[in-house]
Amino acid sequence: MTAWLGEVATLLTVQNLVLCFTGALVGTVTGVLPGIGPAATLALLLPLTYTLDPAGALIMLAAIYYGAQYGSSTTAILLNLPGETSGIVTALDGHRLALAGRAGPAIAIAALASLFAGLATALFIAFAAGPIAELSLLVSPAGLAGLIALGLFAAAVIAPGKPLAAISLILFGACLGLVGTDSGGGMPRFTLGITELRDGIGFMPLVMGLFGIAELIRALETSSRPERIAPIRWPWPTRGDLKASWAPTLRGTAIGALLGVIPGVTTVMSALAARGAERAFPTSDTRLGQGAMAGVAAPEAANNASAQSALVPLLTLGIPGNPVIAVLAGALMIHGIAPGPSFISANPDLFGALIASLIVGNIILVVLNLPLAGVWASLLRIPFRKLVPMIIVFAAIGVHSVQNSLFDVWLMLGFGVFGWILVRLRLEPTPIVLGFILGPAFEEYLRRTLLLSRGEMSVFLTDPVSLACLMIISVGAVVLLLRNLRGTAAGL
Amino acid sequence: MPTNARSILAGFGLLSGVALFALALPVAGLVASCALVALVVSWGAGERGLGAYLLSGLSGAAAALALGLTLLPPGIRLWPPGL
Repeated sequence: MTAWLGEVATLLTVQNLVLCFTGALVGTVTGVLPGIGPAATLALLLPLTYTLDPAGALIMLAAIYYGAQYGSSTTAILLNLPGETSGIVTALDGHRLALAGRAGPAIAIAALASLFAGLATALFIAFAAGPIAELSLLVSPAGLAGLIALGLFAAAVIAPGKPLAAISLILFGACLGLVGTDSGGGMPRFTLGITELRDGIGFMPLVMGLFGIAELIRALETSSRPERIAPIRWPWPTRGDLKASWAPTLRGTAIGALLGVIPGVTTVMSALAARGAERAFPTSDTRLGQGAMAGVAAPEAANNASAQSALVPLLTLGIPGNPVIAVLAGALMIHGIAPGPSFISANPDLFGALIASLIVGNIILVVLNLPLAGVWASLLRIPFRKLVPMIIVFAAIGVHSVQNSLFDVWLMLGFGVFGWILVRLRLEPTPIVLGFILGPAFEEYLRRTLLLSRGEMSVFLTDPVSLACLMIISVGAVVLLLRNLRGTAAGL
Repeated sequence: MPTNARSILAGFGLLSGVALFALALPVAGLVASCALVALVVSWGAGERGLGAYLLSGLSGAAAALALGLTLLPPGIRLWPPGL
């Protein structure tokens, strides 16, 4: 523990603090803007980290990530316009408080609940991730292949829209991830004779095209300027507000931290679960839905805790549980950081950097958000169309500068067209990114397993972890099928 | 403007901007390409007016110049060949 604290302390250099502050600031500013989610924010701001060392890049990327999560609550409370989906849940009570002239205390409670959840979850990750990673080192390649298959299944089940479309998109993403040079035989595969594809499809063009461009088009369709921004006044909450919020904050933190670890669970699900749980408890101010502080504290705590604890499966198993974490994983890979079972033991300095970033960044966010809430809200007065040209310029420069390759820009264009088609068909591009990251990892562990077992497939049934994963997938698939059949029968 | 038409215009403008970047970069350099991209994208995003186009183009050029001089590797060509 002392050694770990020492590791964290050594990372608190002026440069790292500046990186953390910049990441939190830029992430908040982008997260405030409706239409650009954390995944797109991370993808668009990735070029800012190119010149940094891995620890600095990790600190800044993490700060951008939770800064973007954090930014949405201010606009959700003030304007009922969440910058990110989980803000919708906060807006239910938060905006009512703003309309009643209590925007300041609502923003303060959201900030304090997020701070508590952020710090508690950082400690949870610091203590839990190490032992989980050590356990995961004991898991055989067959077990890891099973866990990744379970992650893919969870992604397909939880993805919005029809499961068949989500499964198809995951498989498509996995196929894209397999393009390049075969790691086993060293032969090019699925490259269509294009030399540039021998190194595989770049993560940046994929994410920039699917998330960056496609989400911008969607945001241009829907973005609107607020008619009026509620005044914030003195932001400090009363003793009554604090009394009404502390228990929901604790419950929200626990729910978010536990749900966030499960691959496939998004922050909005955790926020909804926390708000749902609050229905079972009496509120000391007003009823839930009428402007209760519990309706702000619980979802905000759950949202922040879930966003951070989603890092656990990534750091311990190499499984990105949600699309934002998938983008973060891809960004780390660009910096030569490979998340997985040996990440913590091989990179204690980077793990320390991440925990330091989570602790310091959450404190920075409160300092940034309380006095500057009005400034963030006023950003929404800038018409979104004025920001789009600069975002596209940054995206194009960013994608081109990764490898100084115009081919990557053409790829981004291709994925942008594909993402636009998905938008028109009302489909989400996120399963593609999960498939893109998890597909090659699944292949690697599948190959290792079959090499060790000399091609014997029954090893997946004799390995306990793999067997458990296969059973969960089978039972889940049967339950889903029966539910769909019942639904179809009821509709006839 | 109906949402459908706005979406088609936005998609066309944004994607055209990216295509123009790839086509113009080898001959016009980063700064001019980014100015062109910003101008086309501002049209796609819904700007109507010479002043807005000019401002977007200049902002794009300034951003490219700032990034090119500070963060990007020195090998990236900022200006057209010969300049």
